[in-house]
Amino acid sequence: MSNILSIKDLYVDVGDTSIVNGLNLKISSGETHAIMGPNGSGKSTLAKAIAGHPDYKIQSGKITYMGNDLSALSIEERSNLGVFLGFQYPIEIPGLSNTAFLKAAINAKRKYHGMDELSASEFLVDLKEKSKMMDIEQSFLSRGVNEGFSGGEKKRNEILQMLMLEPTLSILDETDSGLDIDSMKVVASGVNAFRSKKTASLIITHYERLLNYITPDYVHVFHDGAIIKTGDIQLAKDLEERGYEWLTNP
Amino acid sequence: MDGLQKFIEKDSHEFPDWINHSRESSLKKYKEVCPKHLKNATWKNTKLNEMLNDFFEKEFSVQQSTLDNIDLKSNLDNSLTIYFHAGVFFTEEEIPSYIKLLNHKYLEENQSIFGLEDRSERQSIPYLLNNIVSRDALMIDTAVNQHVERLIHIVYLPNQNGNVAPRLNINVSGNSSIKIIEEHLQSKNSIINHCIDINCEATSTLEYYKVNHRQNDSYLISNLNLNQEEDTDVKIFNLDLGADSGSSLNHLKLNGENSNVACSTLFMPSDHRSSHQNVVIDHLSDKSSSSVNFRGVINNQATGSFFGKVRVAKERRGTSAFMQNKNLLLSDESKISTVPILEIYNDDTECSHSATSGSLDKEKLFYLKTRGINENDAKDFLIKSFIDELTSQIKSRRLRDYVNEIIAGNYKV
Repeated sequence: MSNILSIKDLYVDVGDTSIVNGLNLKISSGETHAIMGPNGSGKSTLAKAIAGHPDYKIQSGKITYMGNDLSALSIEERSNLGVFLGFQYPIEIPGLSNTAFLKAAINAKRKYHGMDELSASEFLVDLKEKSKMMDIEQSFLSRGVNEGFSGGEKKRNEILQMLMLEPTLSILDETDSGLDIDSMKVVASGVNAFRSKKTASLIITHYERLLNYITPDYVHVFHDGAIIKTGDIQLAKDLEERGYEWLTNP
Repeated sequence: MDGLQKFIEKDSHEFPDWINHSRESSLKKYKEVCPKHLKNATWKNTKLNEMLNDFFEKEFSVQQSTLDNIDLKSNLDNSLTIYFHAGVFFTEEEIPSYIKLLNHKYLEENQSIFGLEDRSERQSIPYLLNNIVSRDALMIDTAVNQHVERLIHIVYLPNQNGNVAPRLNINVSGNSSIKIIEEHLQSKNSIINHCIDINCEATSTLEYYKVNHRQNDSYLISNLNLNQEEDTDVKIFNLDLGADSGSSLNHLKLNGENSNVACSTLFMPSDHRSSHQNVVIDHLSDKSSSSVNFRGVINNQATGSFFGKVRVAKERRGTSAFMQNKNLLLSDESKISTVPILEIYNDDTECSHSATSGSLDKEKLFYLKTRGINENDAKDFLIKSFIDELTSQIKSRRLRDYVNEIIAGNYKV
């Protein structure tokens, strides 16, 4: 097992507000971590700070990804080095087809690593197989990115992008929100297919139900921008039963 | 104004009386309407005053038909290509019976093309100026039931120090159809004032495209008047890459039941250029429908404007109108003004309008970058997607590809 992500004493501001307050977290290869917490606890802020959103400013502390200081890397470099963020609210880009977008993303990564562009046939074979796994119709792929997709389709499309880009660290920000039970199973199967000894996942969620399908190695409870408790899947079950109150306001 | 008077007097001996009379009455009318019109929304953002000062103070060299250096090969295979240069329309092909090039044939029977009296819209600034300057006209008049298979490609060859005023008159006869593209190539230090009248008789269909290439140190005014009778279907697509001062005026009249028009324009001025887009739709019949979709991509220090008005008369029922203007500002110095107006005097209508202007969406940029796409490519994708949303609506695949090719050749982030 090697260290994939290491967050040390991290403070993140959005505007004038401090959202993440002294966070420490280590994720090693092969591990799946879940972060749970009430609304406004800073979960999504952490995800966006790792991805490099310009509005989320690291005030102090350090995020190290596979030996690289993340704050020294551009958003696209982080992606090309294997960091993937699955969005809570995937963005719609009408006029840019899913296929063209995915191909550009894959080739950007290949170019970054000094590889030739993927041939059209290789790309299409891979896309066909993975879109089938995510239960996405072929006709959707020629439509604009997330254009007119339902909530569930958007989330499945995020996981399709993850599978196509083959990242090392996948951060999934409330991928389960707005999903019906069938879509959740499809999403979970995609995430489980991604899990390997070389990769790691950070799953941000409100509820335990997604974790019934993706069993995490660690469950962290987030409150006021820091981890207040860490446990295993049993902690998620306790939270489902008892809520957050017993931890956030004991 | 004196310059205009001198211009008319200078070459009046070349023309028959009815032309001179038309030019004189145009000038008289022009003096009346100009001060009033220059203050209205259509013209207030333009540099028309500046242009008019330049109009005759500059000594424009006489345009000679020096076409030696110009490749007359059309870029659109199998189209019937008609050229315009130095004030004259011409073609290298045999002219079909439905096309007439007036070529200095100032026949009295063609007076209506230059007449002012029969249509109020002809008493506008561009028409009046066109009447004063124009030397030639092109007429297209399809036969009843005629479906013209060949694309008509009208190419305005580059002008240098030119002052040209092409005039077109198109009649799409009953139950006929035709597809026309007009293309203004890049001119320099010129004034181009282009007027076109289109009438669509009952059950006819028309696809009309216009491409204004990027003009250098030039003024370009495009003026379109469309009249549609019942059961007609018209699709209009304009691409305007901007001029020193570019103005486009479209007046679309739905004058018959079940007349339907879709008018889309992509305007993309850059550097110091401008592109001012105006469209007025008059729903003068029951069950008429219109769809207006204008998009601006404004770069560098360029200026754009959109003025759109849909009018539904009181007694007209069952109409539908949709008007949208979206603009993308690509630099801090670029400017846009947008005024969408609905004037509805009847409850039995379905109308909507919207207008948005802004820079590239930061969240979309972030999303693309999180997928490894660099800043420049991400911007390129967003601009292209904004454009493609409009150009993808071009019905003809061939013309869609042609337009996209022109855009790609003229644009870079």
